[in-house]
Amino acid sequence: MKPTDNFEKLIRDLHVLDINTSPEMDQRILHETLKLQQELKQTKLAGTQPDIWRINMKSPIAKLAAAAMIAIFAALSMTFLERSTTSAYALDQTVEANHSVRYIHIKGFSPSHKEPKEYWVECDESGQLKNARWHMPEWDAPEDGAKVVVWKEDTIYLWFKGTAKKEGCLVTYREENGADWLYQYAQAYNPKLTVERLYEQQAQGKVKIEVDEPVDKAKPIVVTATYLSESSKSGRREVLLVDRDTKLITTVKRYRLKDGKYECRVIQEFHDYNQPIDPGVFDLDKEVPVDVKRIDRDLKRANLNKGISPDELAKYENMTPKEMTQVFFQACADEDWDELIKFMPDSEVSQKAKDYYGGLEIINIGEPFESETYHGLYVPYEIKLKSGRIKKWNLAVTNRNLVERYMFDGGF
Amino acid sequence: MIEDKILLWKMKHGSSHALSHIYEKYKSDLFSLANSLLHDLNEAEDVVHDVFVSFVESADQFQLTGSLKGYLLTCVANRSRDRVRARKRVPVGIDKTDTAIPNYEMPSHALISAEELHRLREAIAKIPYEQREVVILHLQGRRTFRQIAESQGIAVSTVQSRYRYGLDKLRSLLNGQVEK
Repeated sequence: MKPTDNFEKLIRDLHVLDINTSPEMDQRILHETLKLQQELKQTKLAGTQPDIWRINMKSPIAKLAAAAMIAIFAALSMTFLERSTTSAYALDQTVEANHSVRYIHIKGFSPSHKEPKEYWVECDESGQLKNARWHMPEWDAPEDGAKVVVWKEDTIYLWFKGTAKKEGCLVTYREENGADWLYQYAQAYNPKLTVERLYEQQAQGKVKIEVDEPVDKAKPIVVTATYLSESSKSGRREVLLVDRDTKLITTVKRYRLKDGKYECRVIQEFHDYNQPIDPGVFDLDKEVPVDVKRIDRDLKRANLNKGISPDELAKYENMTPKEMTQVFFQACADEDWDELIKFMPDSEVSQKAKDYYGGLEIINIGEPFESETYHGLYVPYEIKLKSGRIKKWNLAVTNRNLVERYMFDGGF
Repeated sequence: MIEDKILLWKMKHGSSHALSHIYEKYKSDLFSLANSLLHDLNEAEDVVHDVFVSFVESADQFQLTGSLKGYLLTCVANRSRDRVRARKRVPVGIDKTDTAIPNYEMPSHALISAEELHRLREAIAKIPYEQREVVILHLQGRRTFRQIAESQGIAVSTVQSRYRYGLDKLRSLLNGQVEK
């Protein structure tokens, strides 16, 4: 065993060489939590109708499956509709009309909040998602504040507008499966799927659909879908207002039964079908004020680990604050600025600093300590500079950064 | 951490990828902490499982005020404490950790022999739980004394005392085995 002086380090190391989770455990926990997440998502969808637009599916299999579903339900619903109504209007006209939609602007209102959520979506000629923009008011997530999200060319721009307590910032990042996330996020109710979902529910005897075509041609077609007791959405009602000419949905009102009365909970308005959206709507870079902090997450992370090979990365990630400080000053002693830069978030060592600290001699590195006013740690150090001067101070180090390893934060 | 905030935000909106990412990112730290506190792989697995289930269930209401890792570590510590209390101080069977898969990714770690590892673990298992919890959370979980105090609703000085007493106790337990 090592000397007692190293006791704390031993226990810390015990953690590093501790156990790995087994694949079986990962499988079990992940499987169960993902399943739970999915179930909760379904419950949430049934309970509160999300008011978002469907992002196109990238998977050809998913697209085929969806197309098949539409065909099946369209066929089924034709029969049902013929039985249930003599109206000249049929829901599949709306399905058909939706096929040509490339642009749309959606507003989602909640009776308890004045400001709506807003979405702008642009698809390309093949129907694939091209650009999307969301406005999330502060009430949607008070801890984050108001947000604007833009998805453009596989890049996500996330503008946190800030709160009274938090400064705003613009975060950009790319992720390979961004479309999957958006698809999952947005796979809730939308004007296209609203009709298809109604077909499905009707075929299962879970919803009663009534179509009202007012004699007054200026008034929209009203499709009322009331969920029956067999449905998990029993007690809910959706009212779709359909434009007579285009057969596109202009408004969806969602109701819930309370004290014997249907109460409106959400109103979605569908605006500007196929009206080309100004490209500026998807260009947050220009829209966000210049004084707002910009964070390119991918670039910053890459810069912070610049010069560190993948094989070396674990060594730097596992350094304790004291070890990091030792290597940091040793790099100064050796005038190895490439090594020093690995601990500097600014990616630059000034000539002044090089002249001042180059060739120093380490006298002592003390034990890290905490301070009530600083989130990181202070590591006491004593060095002898080339000039002969002795410097005794504390290096501030923190791992609260994108690469989550200890780096220099002050005191140099 | 902005990355965690984004992950959390995505998870709240139903992204299974974000949930998987959070799990992959923190599973080792959480499992190691639970195992260090409980000295039982099966119980450690249950604790991590319960923490993630609860995390998913409360995602909608969840508001991150500090670090996500810190929050999850605190959840593991709290649930581990509950389990220890439920055991009513039944002695811990250290052998239950023997099936652990050592992680010798760093060559220097292989220098610590299995026997020494066993002794150290055994000693940690013998110190009072309150002290063990502080020692493990501080040294392995990298939680500051202030953070530990806040999560447990006790004074920082109490945490520091427990830490000091815990280390003293460990030293005395290993006294005959430690080179001076």
